[in-house]
Amino acid sequence: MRFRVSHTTEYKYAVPASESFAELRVWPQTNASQRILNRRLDITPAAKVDHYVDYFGNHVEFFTIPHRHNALTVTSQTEVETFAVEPPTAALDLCVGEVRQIFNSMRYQLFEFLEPSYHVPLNQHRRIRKQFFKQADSYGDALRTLYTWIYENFKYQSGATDISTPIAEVVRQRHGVCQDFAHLMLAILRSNGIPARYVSGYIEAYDPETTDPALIGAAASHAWVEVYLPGGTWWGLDPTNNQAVGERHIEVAVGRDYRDVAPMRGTYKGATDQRFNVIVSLERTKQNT
Amino acid sequence: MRKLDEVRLKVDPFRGFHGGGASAVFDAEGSARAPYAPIVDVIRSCSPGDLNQRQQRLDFAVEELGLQFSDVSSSRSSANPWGLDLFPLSLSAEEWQLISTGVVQRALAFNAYAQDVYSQQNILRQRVIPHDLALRDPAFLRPLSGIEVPEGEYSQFGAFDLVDAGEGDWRVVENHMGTPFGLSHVLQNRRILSQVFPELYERVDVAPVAGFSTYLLEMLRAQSARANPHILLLTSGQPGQAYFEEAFIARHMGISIAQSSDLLVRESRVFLKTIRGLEPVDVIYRRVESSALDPIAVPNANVFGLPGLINAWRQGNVAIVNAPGAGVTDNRALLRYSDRIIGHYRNESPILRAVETFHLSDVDQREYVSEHREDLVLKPMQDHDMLWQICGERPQNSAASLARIVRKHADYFVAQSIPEPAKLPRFKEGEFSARGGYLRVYYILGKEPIVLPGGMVRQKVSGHRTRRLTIATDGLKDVWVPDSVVQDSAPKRPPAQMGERFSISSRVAESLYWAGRYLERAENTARQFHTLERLRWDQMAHAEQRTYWPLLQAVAAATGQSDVTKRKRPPRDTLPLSKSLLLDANEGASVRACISYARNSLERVREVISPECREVLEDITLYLNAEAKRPVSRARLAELCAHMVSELARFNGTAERTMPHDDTWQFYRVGIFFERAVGALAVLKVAMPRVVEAYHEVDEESADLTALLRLLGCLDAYRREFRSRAYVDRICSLMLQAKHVPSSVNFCLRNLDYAIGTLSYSGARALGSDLSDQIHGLLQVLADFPLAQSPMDEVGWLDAGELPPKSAQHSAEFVGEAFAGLAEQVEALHERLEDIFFSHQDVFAREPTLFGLE
Repeated sequence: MRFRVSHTTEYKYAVPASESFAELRVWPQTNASQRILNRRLDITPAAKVDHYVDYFGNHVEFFTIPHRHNALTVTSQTEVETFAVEPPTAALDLCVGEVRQIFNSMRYQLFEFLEPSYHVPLNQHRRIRKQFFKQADSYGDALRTLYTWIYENFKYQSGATDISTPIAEVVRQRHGVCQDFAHLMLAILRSNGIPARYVSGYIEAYDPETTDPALIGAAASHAWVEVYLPGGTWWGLDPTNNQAVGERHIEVAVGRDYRDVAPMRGTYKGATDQRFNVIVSLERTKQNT
Repeated sequence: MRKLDEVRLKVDPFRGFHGGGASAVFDAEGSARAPYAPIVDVIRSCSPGDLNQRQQRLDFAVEELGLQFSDVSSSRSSANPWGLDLFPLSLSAEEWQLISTGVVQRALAFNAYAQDVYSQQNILRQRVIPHDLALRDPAFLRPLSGIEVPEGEYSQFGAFDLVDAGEGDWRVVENHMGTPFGLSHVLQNRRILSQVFPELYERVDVAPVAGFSTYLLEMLRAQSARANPHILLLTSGQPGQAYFEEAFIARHMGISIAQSSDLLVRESRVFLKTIRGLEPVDVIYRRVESSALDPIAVPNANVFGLPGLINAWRQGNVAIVNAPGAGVTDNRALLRYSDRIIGHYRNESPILRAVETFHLSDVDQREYVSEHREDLVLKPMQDHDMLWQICGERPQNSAASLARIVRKHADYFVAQSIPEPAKLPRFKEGEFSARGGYLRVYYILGKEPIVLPGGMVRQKVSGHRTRRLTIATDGLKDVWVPDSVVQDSAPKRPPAQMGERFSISSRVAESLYWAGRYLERAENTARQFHTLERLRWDQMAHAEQRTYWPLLQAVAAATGQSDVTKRKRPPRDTLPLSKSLLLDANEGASVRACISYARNSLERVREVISPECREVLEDITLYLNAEAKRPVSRARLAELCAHMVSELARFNGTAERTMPHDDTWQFYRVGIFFERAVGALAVLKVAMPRVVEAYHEVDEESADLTALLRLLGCLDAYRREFRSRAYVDRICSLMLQAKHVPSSVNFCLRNLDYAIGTLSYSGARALGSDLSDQIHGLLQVLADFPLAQSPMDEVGWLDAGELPPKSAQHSAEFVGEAFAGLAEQVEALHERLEDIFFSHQDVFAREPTLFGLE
């Protein structure tokens, strides 16, 4: 499938800001399940943009605006083609005990994705985590059971939480948004010795052909989880939508948790009084065959 | 008595030290070993009284220096954690050769480790060391991976702590390769000991240490291809020992100190904000932890840092020493694998071994540690803020509190079995006792690595101190290396000609400006109270008191006490008011508060303040703190005012004589003149309308006008100028227009203009000319001021039956408004100064209540 994604972040300052500096992680990945057809980044006021690849392989763009400005707008427009990629069934058929053994032998390669991280503390909620990943379970089933459990036991409630809400609070309230579910799922996975990482991206919320409004996460950045499969692939799982990641997900950045992938992180000098707005639009485009 | 002294002389001063056994200093027969023989001889030739006296002089010298880094000076002695012992550590040529080759080997191996961990991680892939030690290190910052560091030299300047396990078996206790601390102590220890005890150095050729800072500077210069690179020392700016050292090193190297807020990144280049705009920076000597450098590259809620710095560095547009991330080399868990690391990267066997170290993430080692708890020292993997953030707490000052954190977060801790250090004589209370210590040795890498021939010994204390940048110690020792082993190495780069000079940063300029203003304010208030107190307020009749009340009100108003100006009558007892305006630390503009603001402003730019100035200010602070605790009386306050006036004059005299009269100095002067002008107008604004109201020409001698002149510090000037009794318009002319009277607004503005004129700002930012125009405009306003129309130069006659003063024609209200308007115009200069020279700065000293003159 082909999509055109536009991701705009706008800041409006009550008092003119100066010395703005920001790093962006809004450049979609190129991998087996997607490729970039074209892409442009626009910044107003105009600024020279530089670029590097970070520790997790994400493309990072950054810029400075030293002079005074009242507003800052960053728009990333990308056309992406996605492909349905089936996970290797052989890996999913292994039992949990076996995959644990494999992961144990790869602790160095998988270190970051088994350790606690800033938003993902481990070894809390012993009772919850003990429910999952019994030694004899099939790995694939155990993973599906986990994301379905989150989907069924947590209510998606936009605005109920923000990025500073700790997992413990989400567990207590039983509601949250996609990044909370992703962090929670990471905590349960890592506590069980399953290597997993955080993914930021976009999702096509409504299928234009069936007009199924059930997919949540509309018109905003989305977040989900990838787990490591023996054999060397990462498999995307979306607990917010109770499904494995498919053609309608567009992957942007990966990391230990939200901190490693924040789409825009910046500073400016000026009054703290700012309004900011994020607009993401995503539309399916015609396949040119 | 004489007889007793003679007996004492025959007693060996070392009797309490060696007790007959062999030691690092004496052999089994009791004769001094070669490196110590000259020291032992000199000391044995001194009488006990002489030794005591030398130690006292050492203590005194150190204490004087300690003043420089003591925090708020409640008492001098308790704030100083630095002591210096008169018996040095002396190394033989062979020992030093061993140590210095071992130090270089180790520095190179651990540098290679840092480079590897931030790139391929081969040492982990090949399982030479357990991967979790490296990957769990809080100093390992993943965002710094994949950045090319020139020559792979992460730590170009570093240090190691060594311990002599006996017979010159030196072992490494700790790496200090990230931000080595203590160089200033090395230099100062040598300077002080050789001054206090020159005889020690007479018979031995000790390698000099004074060149250390030059080597460091040359290394920093070599980081940039430019002929005259702009080098800065980046500090966190926190007052304390670390800042003392930074100021000291920066002064020795002649480079400036910057905090991250002084810098700006623009299109991946780093600039310093200066009074002349933005100046590009080429080399940063970093004294800030890597994780606090750039809040965008390494998200850390607790610090500001410089956004974009890491990207500028990544692009090779600025050199940073030591490279960000270098702290991974200090990971104590690696000490256990020192030999493997040296073998892996250097393919050599280790020259210096590390002390036995256990890391608690390993089950077996943890078990061993818990069984041998008594013999081991617990330490965190890193003395790194990030580690305590992960643990969620810092240990309190007890072993139990540390042990509790260790139980919860064992992965982040190590235990060391540190051998009892070889003992050296330590002089205390008249005799030598035996005390072990740790030797810190410094290296500088580059084409030809240098190990600085000397160092310092920290005498042993129990337990581990977790504050990284402190030298908490039970005394330091100088370290001697024979000069013969030091090969003369050519400078790494020929000294460049003096290039363009670099501007002072806006923050430095602003701090000096505010210091000038606060000190002038304090001086004004003290002098004005002194004048008022000399009028003997308490002995006045009530009516008389009412006559003087406007003057007291004026002073109070100038000090920001606007409530007082609304009172029609004086309070029965003005003593509490006086006390609060002089001594109340919480009263925003009291003399004491002003001194404290000035001191805080200057503390932040200690590198540009002469030690002499600092000493005077310290005296003043201590004096005021002590006075504030004593019961007040009128006499005491009068004495305090007089003392403050003379002390502040001493400060200005000292500053004038000891500080370079450069741009920094000019901003101090700008502050003084601006404040003096504003202060004079604040008094005039309140006093004049009341004076006009009460003014009767028929008065024989208008007493309160004389007092006003005295208050304004220009009674003599008035008499010299007019040779008449005081008239309102003449006072106004004098105060507003006189060219040579230091209290006059004209004088202040012209000097301010002059000070700004010396800054030689030019080019695209010729903003100063606009400022100069503004000042000239103000001088014209002064000349045209309605109340002061008698031209100064025409007053050449003796006073006799002249015309009635014009001021009589004006209402009090008119006078009040005229002065208020004038004051406002002069105060507006501040905004211009700020816009032109300081903008973007976050200033501590800007205290809104102080300058809110209503």
